[in-house]
Amino acid sequence: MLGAFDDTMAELYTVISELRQNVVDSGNGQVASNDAETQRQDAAKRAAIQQEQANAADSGSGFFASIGHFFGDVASDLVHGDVGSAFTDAGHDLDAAWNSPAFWSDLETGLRDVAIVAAAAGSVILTAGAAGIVVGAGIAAAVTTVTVTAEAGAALAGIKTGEFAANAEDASAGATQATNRMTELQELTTDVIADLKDADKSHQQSLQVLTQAMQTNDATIVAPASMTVKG
Amino acid sequence: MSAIQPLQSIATTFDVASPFVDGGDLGAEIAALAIQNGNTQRATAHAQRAIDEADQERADAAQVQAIHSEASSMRAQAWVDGGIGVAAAFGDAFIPRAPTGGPSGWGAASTDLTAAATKMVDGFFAAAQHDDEADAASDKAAADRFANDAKDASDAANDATATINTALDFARSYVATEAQTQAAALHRA
Repeated sequence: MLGAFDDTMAELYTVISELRQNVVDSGNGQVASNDAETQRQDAAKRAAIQQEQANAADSGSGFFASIGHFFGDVASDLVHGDVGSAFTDAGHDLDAAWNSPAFWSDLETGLRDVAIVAAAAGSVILTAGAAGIVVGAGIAAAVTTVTVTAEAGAALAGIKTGEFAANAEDASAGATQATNRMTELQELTTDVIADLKDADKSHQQSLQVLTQAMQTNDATIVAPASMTVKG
Repeated sequence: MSAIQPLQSIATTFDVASPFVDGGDLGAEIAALAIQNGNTQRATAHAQRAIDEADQERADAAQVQAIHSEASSMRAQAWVDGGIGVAAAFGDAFIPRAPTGGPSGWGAASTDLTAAATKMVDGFFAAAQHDDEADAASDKAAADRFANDAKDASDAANDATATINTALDFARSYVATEAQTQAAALHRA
């Protein structure tokens, strides 16, 4: 009967030991999973910050630098007789300018300045006409055309700079999202480790109690037997 | 000599239904109730922690959504401003000028109208963007508050665990003392 008790305790000990190991394995798995997710979020955050910086108003080459690169590359390729590279470099430079916030910001500012100067020139022409000084119709038309074109161009460039600002804000949202997720994962990992410690300690105590129970049981078998032999 | 009698007081029977400890042993009952109470507190704290973390996650998501909303507003503002700017430029080009060469009444009205429209639209979008920023800040604050609440719940769970451990220590000590007492009594007999 007491042997059966030991067998049951031993079986229970085995079950609790397996449960303890399973809980530890599960906790380790969750921690590893959280770590992997944290690393992915960290990479996403870095990418978002890079994107935010790339879309900042002062990022990339400015207007004159872009134009300089364009003509410099094309001229260099043509001087070396490499027409294919001239097209390739031209395409690359145009693409870089198209995606450069600084280029569009400079272009918008420049066109607004041109529009202001042209409008001022138009006023001078009007004033001169009122004073009896005849200015050619062609010049007046040209000034008007420049003013209108610069105003429209500045407005269109403004759309592009606004797009860059919005993209930077979206990237900022992405970085914030990744940061928040990493914080959440860190909290989850802390929870998992705390729960794991609790569960492991509980299982450890259960195993100790079982061991003591088996030792007590063994002692109750041995002691009466010993006393019977002596008696 | 007869065999040692089993120690009756150690035989605490746990039952899922209440009461889960046999009556008659006050120490065992106190220990069991303390453990049960600690377990309930810990389960409640864990549930509260899960709720707070879920709320934190929702507040974090709302913060990100508010920033995206601001970006969307900025994008829309760029297009509307651009459209007004192009319309104003073409208004200057196509509205006939006065016989003196200066802007006609329609031209001046167009200029004033587009300037007013630009200011109104900019004001509208700026207000919307400030609202989004305020929402983002508010959501961030809420997320931080929920994070603190979750930490408090974790601390409460730790306290409950400490209570359980103390109760278990008490139970072990109580049982050992009782066993020693009974063994001593048996020995004297």
